[in-house]
Order: sequence, then C-alpha cells, then structure tokens
Amino acid sequence: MMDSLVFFIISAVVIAGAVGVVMAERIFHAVLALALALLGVAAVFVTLGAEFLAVIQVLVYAGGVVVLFLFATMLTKSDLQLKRPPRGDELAPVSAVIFAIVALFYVASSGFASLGERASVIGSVGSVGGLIFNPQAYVIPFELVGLLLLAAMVGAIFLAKKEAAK
Amino acid sequence: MSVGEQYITIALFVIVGAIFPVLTIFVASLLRKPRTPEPQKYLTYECSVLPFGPAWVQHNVEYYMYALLFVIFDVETVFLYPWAMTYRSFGLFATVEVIIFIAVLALGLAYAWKKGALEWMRGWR
Amino acid sequence: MLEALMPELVIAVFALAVIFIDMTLREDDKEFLGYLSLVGVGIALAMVFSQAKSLLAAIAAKQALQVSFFSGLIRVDLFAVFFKLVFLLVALLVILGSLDATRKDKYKGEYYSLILFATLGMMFAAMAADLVLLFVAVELASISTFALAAFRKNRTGTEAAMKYFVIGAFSSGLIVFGMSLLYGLTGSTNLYAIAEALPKTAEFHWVLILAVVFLIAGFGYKVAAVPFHMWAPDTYQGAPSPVSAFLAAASKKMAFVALLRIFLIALSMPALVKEWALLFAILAAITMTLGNVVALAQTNIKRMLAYSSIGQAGYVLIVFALLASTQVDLNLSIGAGLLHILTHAIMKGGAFLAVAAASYYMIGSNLEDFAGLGRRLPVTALTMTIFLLSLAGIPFFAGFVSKFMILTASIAAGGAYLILGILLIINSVVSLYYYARVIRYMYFAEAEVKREREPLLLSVALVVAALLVIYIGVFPDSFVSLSLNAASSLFS
Repeated sequence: MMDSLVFFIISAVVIAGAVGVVMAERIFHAVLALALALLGVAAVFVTLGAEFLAVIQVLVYAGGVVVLFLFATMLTKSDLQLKRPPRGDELAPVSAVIFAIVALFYVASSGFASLGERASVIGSVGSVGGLIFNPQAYVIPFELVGLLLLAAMVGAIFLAKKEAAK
Repeated sequence: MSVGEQYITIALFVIVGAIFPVLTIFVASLLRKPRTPEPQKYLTYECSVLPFGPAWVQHNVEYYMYALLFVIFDVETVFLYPWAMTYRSFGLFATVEVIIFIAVLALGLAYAWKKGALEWMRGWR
Repeated sequence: MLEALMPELVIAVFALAVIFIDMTLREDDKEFLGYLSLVGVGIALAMVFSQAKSLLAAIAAKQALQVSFFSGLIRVDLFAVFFKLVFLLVALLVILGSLDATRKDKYKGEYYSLILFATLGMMFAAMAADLVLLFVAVELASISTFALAAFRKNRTGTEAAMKYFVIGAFSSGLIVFGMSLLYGLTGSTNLYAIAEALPKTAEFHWVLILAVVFLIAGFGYKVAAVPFHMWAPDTYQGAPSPVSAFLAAASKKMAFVALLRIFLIALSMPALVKEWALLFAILAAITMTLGNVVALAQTNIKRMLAYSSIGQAGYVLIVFALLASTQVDLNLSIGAGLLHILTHAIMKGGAFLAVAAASYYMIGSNLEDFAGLGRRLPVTALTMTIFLLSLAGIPFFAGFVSKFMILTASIAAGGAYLILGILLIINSVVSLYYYARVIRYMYFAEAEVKREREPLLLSVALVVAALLVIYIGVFPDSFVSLSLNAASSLFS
C-alpha cells in the first residue's frame, strides 16, 4: 500500500516533468523540466531496489546529460522561444496517448518472469560489479564500453572543433 | 525490509526542500507590509548603470567541450564504483580490467588535450 | 580463448595506436595512419581467414563447430567468422580507397581510428550471443559511423550525419526497448537461454509480440527497410563516398547479423516464427519494390545507389520470410541470405568507391557528370560497370549467384512464397534499367573529356573488388558451400 502510494507520487512527478518538457515555451525551461523527470526516474529505480541504476541516473543523466543540454542551449544565438507546433503535428499527442494506453495494458497484463524478488539483488552495486568484473561474465562488453566512450569522445571533439576554429 | 525504508530520510529531505522556499516566500509576503509597488523595484540591480540588452548571450563552444568531456568521464567514474565494491573478490583480474579501461580513456584525455579541447579561449590569445 | 579473439585485439590495438600516433605526427605525415590501419585490418583479415579455414576443416571432420566463452557471451562459429570476413574485407577496401579519396582532407587520425572502431564493433556484433554484448557492439559501430558521416563537415555532410544520428539513436532506443522486454519475459540476456525460457506453445504473451515489433522496427531502421528507410538516401548522398561505401557495405550488414542471431536463435519457436515471418514477408515485398521503383527516378548516382541498396536489403529480407516454410531447407534459405550479404557488400562497396574515384577529380555524382567517364577514367568506369551489372544480377557476376540462390529457396518453399520470388525477378528487371542508364552515360554519352591518371590505391581497391565479383560469379561453388556451412553453424 505504502509502496504503491510512493510509486504514484513519484510517477506523477515524472509525468509532470515530461509534460513540462513538451509544453514549455522556452527551451531552457524544457531542460529544467527534463531534469525533474530524470530525477523522478531515479526515484522509481530506488523504489525498485535498483540502487546502482538510481546512482547512474542521478550522476550521468540528471548531472551530466542535463548539463550538456544546458550548454547546448547556451550555444544558441538567442533565447529560443519555441513556437506552437506547426499544423499536422496533431498526430504527436494522439500517438502519445495511444502509446500510453498500450503501455498501461502492458503493465497491467505483465507476463514478466518474476524479477521483482530478484531485482534488489540484481540492482545493487556489488552485484553489478560481480557481473562486470567476473572473469566469466561481462568483461568484453565492459572494455567495449571503454572503447565506445573513446570513439564518442574522438568523434565529438572532432565534430565540435570546427566551431572553435572559426 | 521494505525497499524504500532506507530512503525515508531522503524522501523527507526532498519534501522539506520543496516546501521550504514556498513557505518562506509566503511568510515573507505576510510580513512585507505596506505594499508599495514601483517599477524601480523590478530592476535586476537597484543601483549603478541601468542594465541593457537581453540576459541571453551566446556562449563559446569551449564550454560545450568541457561539458562533453565531463559527461564521458562521468560515465567512466560510474563504472569505477562497482569495481571498488568487488575488487576484493576478483582481485588481480578485475584490477587489470579496470586499468585497461582507464588507460583507454586516459588516451582519450590525452587526445582531447593535444587537440586543444581543454584550452580556454584559444582564439582570443 | 585468447587466440580466438586475436583479430579483435589486433583491430583494437591498431585503433588505439592510430589515435596515439596521430598526436605525435605533423599534418603532412598523417597519411601514415591510413597505411597503419591498412596493415592492422590486413593482419586481422589473415587471422580471420585462418579461423575460417580451421572451422571448415573441423566441419569436414565432423568435430566441434564453434567455440564459445565468457559463459556463452561470445560465440565464434563459422557464421560469426563469415561476417567478420565480410566486415574486414569491406574495411580493407574502404581504407585502401580512402588513402586516395581523403588525401586532401584533414583529421585523418580521427577518420581511420573511427573506421577501425566501427569495424571492431561490427566484429563483436557478429560474435555476440548475448543481448548486452550485441547492443554495446552495435552502438560502438553506430556511434563511430555517425561521426564518419559528418567527416567533411560541409553543409550536406552535416545534414546527412544529423539525419543518420537522430534516426540511429532513435532506432537504438527501439532496439534496447525490445531487448528489455525479452529480458523481462525470460530473465536472461543470453540468446540461447532466451530460446529455452520462452514457452514452446502456440500461445504467446502479447508482450512478446511487442518485443518482436520493437526489434524489427529498430533493426529495420538500421537496415533501411521500407518504411524505415527515409534516412538512407540523404545520408548516403551527403556523406563522403568512401563512408557511404562503408555504411552500405558494412554497417547495414551488421544490422542483418544482429537480426539473424536474434530471430533465428532467441525467437525461433515454430509458432512464433510464423508470426514474424509474415511481418518480414510484407517488409521484404514493399522494401524491394519501393527501393527499386524510386531508384528509377533518381538522377544522382549516390542517391540511386542508396535506393538500390534499399531494394537489395529487401532481397535479403525474403530469407527471413522463408523461414516459416517447412518446404525449404533452413540452411539453404539462410545460406542464400548470407551469400547475398557478402556479394552485395562487395559490389555496393565497390560502386560507392567508384563514385569516390570520380569525385577525386571533382566529378560530381549526378548522372550527367558521369558522361564520358569511360574515356576519362577507364578503370573506374569499367569496374563500375562490373559492379552495376552484378547488382542487376547478370549471370557470371556475383550478384547473380546469390540472387539465384534466394530465388531457388523461394521456389522450393512454394505456395505464397512464390510471390516473393516473382517480385524478386520483376524487381531485378526494373533495376537493370537504372543500372544500365549509368553505363550508357559512362560509355555512350557525348562529352568533351580527356583521359586522366587514375588514383592508384583507389584503382587497386576497385580492381580487387571487381575481380572478387567476377570470381564469385564464375566459381561460386566454394562460396556457396561456405555460406551454407556458416548457416548451419548457427544452430549447432
């Protein structure tokens, strides 16, 4: 009972943030609303016992990615006032509603293998470490993530450099 | 133990944090009498030169480079945390693994340094 | 264990070395990095070749057909080795061509290291038997190619890369959503474990269907199947031609390897196959038809090649549809798809490299620009002709063999699958028209041109690809048996 109450409050915050992203007229406000939604998702992770994911969510998304978004908006020439969506975009809210209904059904009829019990074991920092650093498990994906980050860094720096040269 | 119990303090903190500014502004509005609105009061600075132009200026791309590198090394840090929790059980193997990981990203840092992504206002000097 | 992963280690070390050495070189000396990557890919190719040989020998001796390690995370079977050969071959040709095509460009270190990183990602995607590794590998390849598409940093290139990036990131989101549903249903990320955990009955939870739809849509974007194809023409046209070659010949094939592994291993219960095979049949039919018909209207050669690439992806998708049929041997239909992936990689990569050779002399990629190319750049024009004829499926070229194999499989399947076979023939006839138009422009159009010295390394790459196309077309036996063996190794 208590758990589902907490879940509903947090979900309300996440949805409010997400709606805020779409409805905000200034791009800056949209980014702040996004930060709210991302923090709310972190709280959802906590309620599911996936603490490590929650930490990542706060550190990388609410911390890093939102900062990146803010810097990106600061690079724009002026305070962007988003116009009302152009005509023909009425499809977007309709599809969003359809997707929400599908998602609701899907949660309601969830045939998931009961991960609920195991979630608190899977989600802790120690068990994630046990998977990544176990010689028999996810060593290769972990090192590939390192190379992925390097490739992303090289690509991003080289793409952003042109502006710096101007 | 219920999942959320450890987090009750944090939840309380968030709730108090959300209520506090609203409450203080509300209390202040009760104390702030008499009400004499004046255009001067809406200026950002009440003394010295009058502010002009929009507060929005276009920032240099160098800020963005920093943010970019920050996010990438942020992700790297996240991966070091589970290593710190488990290196006792996997010992040397995990240590070598994480050293390779760090070395790869250190190469990235060196690259960023060499390419001038860390230099501040290079074009201005 | 480590021997089996040596080719990947070589590529990774060379990619890091390129970045490291790039920092120490002056701008004029950076061409060295291209040669360095060429050596790295060459070594890896030789290693994978010997892997293929020993696996074939093992199959002939009826021994163990695959090695897997990290608790089944990675599987080095002939299927994986086959795709690694395709990726490395394409990477070799693209790097060879790029040595000439990007001679005047800056940022060579970034270019070659990103090509190596992308190749590494593709190689791991070929070997992945686990959703986590598969996703990370696909992302490594995707992110590297995003930056490559914007390599020239001009207006069209940036727009092309932007489209590619947004669609690519979106499709990755769909893929990871589908994967998470599979994990939620089964509690495992290993493809073989998922296959065991899923119910064998004809009753599925509809969440499973949702997962299938997400995966098809996500990878549908990556292989540019209609209706997920909108980005491909713009991206292939706007990106530098060697990068377009890499995207069409390697990056797209990686999406196929992921699709094959996921659908043939994890989602292979007969009752479920019926469901998704129908989806693939529809996708295949509209993809090949729309790709070829729209290609007719193109006046830009790169754009035309992009649409033809969409059409050719449709031919491979037929194979997925055939898997529901009990009439046709599973290995025949998968093998046909594999062979077409190989031949298409060579001929489409070659065709884009030919465009790169033309643009080396500032020749544009519009149809009129190619007028008189036969006299101006004879080697380029001749090899381009070979690639185009092979793409159209003319006998004695590689494209014919693989198309014929797909056709054989669909005829063997019979019934409604014949429709797909007939569509394949009709589309090949349609495609001949627009391929022939390019050849007509190159050889028969009036133009004031003089002969020019062709770039050496680019010509070498073109000639090698063309010879391969002819060799496969004339002596197809060993390649057919290789692809059949690769197909059967997927299940053992």
